[in-house]
Parts: sequence; structure tokens; C-alpha cells
Amino acid sequence: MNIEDRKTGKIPFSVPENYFEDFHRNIMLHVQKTQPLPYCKKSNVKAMATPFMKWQYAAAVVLMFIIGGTAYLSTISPNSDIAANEYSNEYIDDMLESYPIDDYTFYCYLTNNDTDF
Amino acid sequence: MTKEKKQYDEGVIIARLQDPALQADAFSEIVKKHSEQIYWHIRRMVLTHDDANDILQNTFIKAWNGINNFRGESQISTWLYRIAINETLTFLNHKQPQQISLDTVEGSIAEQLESDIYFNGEHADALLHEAISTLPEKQRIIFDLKYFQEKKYEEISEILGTSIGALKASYHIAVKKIENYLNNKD
Repeated sequence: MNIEDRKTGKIPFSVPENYFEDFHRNIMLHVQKTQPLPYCKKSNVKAMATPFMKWQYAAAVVLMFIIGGTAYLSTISPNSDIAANEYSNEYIDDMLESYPIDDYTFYCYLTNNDTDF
Repeated sequence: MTKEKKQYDEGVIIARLQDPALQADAFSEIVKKHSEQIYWHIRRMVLTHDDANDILQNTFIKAWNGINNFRGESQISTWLYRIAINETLTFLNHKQPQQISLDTVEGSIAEQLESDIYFNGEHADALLHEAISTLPEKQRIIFDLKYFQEKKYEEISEILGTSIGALKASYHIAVKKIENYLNNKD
């Protein structure tokens, strides 16, 4: 059996009378009562998905492990030359500031239907 | 005086969407132009009118809510299809899975369709939709867009964000599954 041969072009379903006209009217009633959400810049969301940013994230994670690991080792090896405070908090702060993910970004991401699928 | 029927011009509609004063009128044109085609796509996925109506409403409400984020980077229909497909998948995933044997499912879907007052097809149509309902959800979407709506793979690829090669493979598998199903029913 070849299903291409079964194509009739007819829709075997139906809808209540004037359904699409009523649907249009109801949707427009909703439109008149509500305002659309404000525009969200997509650049933050899209930039996160670029390969370059993925590498930056990976590098940041590796760096954080190194710093964290070094700091941990220095606490269990008091004679070590590497002191925990050798890496100042500025490094971590700088990294966090490089990847700002605030509430507004999340809002835009969650309300952005264009990229949901 | 005869009313002149407005021509639907996608470029003009997109330009009007950027103007808050004209936005609602432009959206009205979009609903008129696309609601029917999207309804039939949803309907073939969920089969009943009530469910299709709920999903269609959610689709256009979400489209209106997010209208300021539509910048005309894709076609309006592509954008609407994406929303509709997301809504349909959400609906299907929340629906209670029917843990019954395949034979029961096969029988029940065709019978349910034929007893629906908003189904006016023949038995063969009911069987075809029964066969389609056995496909995984995303394969059903691909099959519907290609087989019933005769969309180009390029357009389906844009809607679903899937490569053309993967779409062709998925469609081919879907066709084979449906044909096997129908052959077994004969």
C-alpha cells in the first residue's frame, strides 16, 4: 500500500458553524483587553548559545575548579606555598560580572516563544 | 458601495506590528489569515475539536502576548507554527498516558473518531488517523506538515529547527510505519 495514493485533499474533520469567525471575534476581544508584553532583547539569550560563549563557560568552570581546588589544598596542607588568598576575590567577581544572568534575562528567555522549540 | 477586500501583505503586516497604534489591526489580519490552517494542523494532532480549540486559543493569546518580540526574522506562519507546536506538545505531554494494549488503542481511536459529530470522513480516513496516532509526537508533526500540508522540507526545517536530512529520514520512517500498520489492518 502506498499512502501517497490515498491522498484526497479533503479534510475529514469539521467544526461548529461560524467557528473561525467566532474564534477571530473572541481573540480580538482578548486583544482589546490586554497589552502585549514589552520587547525583550534576545542578544543575551542567543549569545549564550554561541560556540564561543560555550568555550568561555567551560574555561570559567575549569578556572573555578582550579582556584577552588588550590584553595582547598592549601587549607589541608598548611606548609604549602600556595595560599588560599593568593587568588583574590576580584578574579571571581570579574568572572561573575562577565556572565550577567539577571531576572530580566530569565523573563525574556521564558517569554520568548520564538526560540522555544 | 462594495467593500474592498484587504490584500494580505506580509511585509506591510510586519511593519504595522512595530507600531503600537496599528498593532491590534495587524494582529487581526494575522488571525484571519492563519487561524484556519493552524487549527487543522492542531486538530490532526489532538483529533478532537474541543482540544484543538483550546490549543488554538492559547496559541494566539501567546502570539499576542509576545508580539513585540516578533521582529520579522522569520515568516509569520513559521512563528505561529512554532508556538502552536509547542502548545500542542505541552498538551499531549500533560494528557494522561493511556496504558492499554495496542489493539485496544487501535480500535478505540478509529471508533472514537467515527462517533465524533465533527468527523465526516470515511472509515479509511479514521484508520489513517489511527495509524498516525501510533507515531511518536514529533514524527507525527513532521508527517502532518509534509503529507497533509505539503510544506517544503526547508520550511519544516525552519519551523522545527531540525536538519533537512533528519526530517527526510523521519518522514520516510513515518510513512513506512503507517503503511505497515494499514497493511496489517487489511
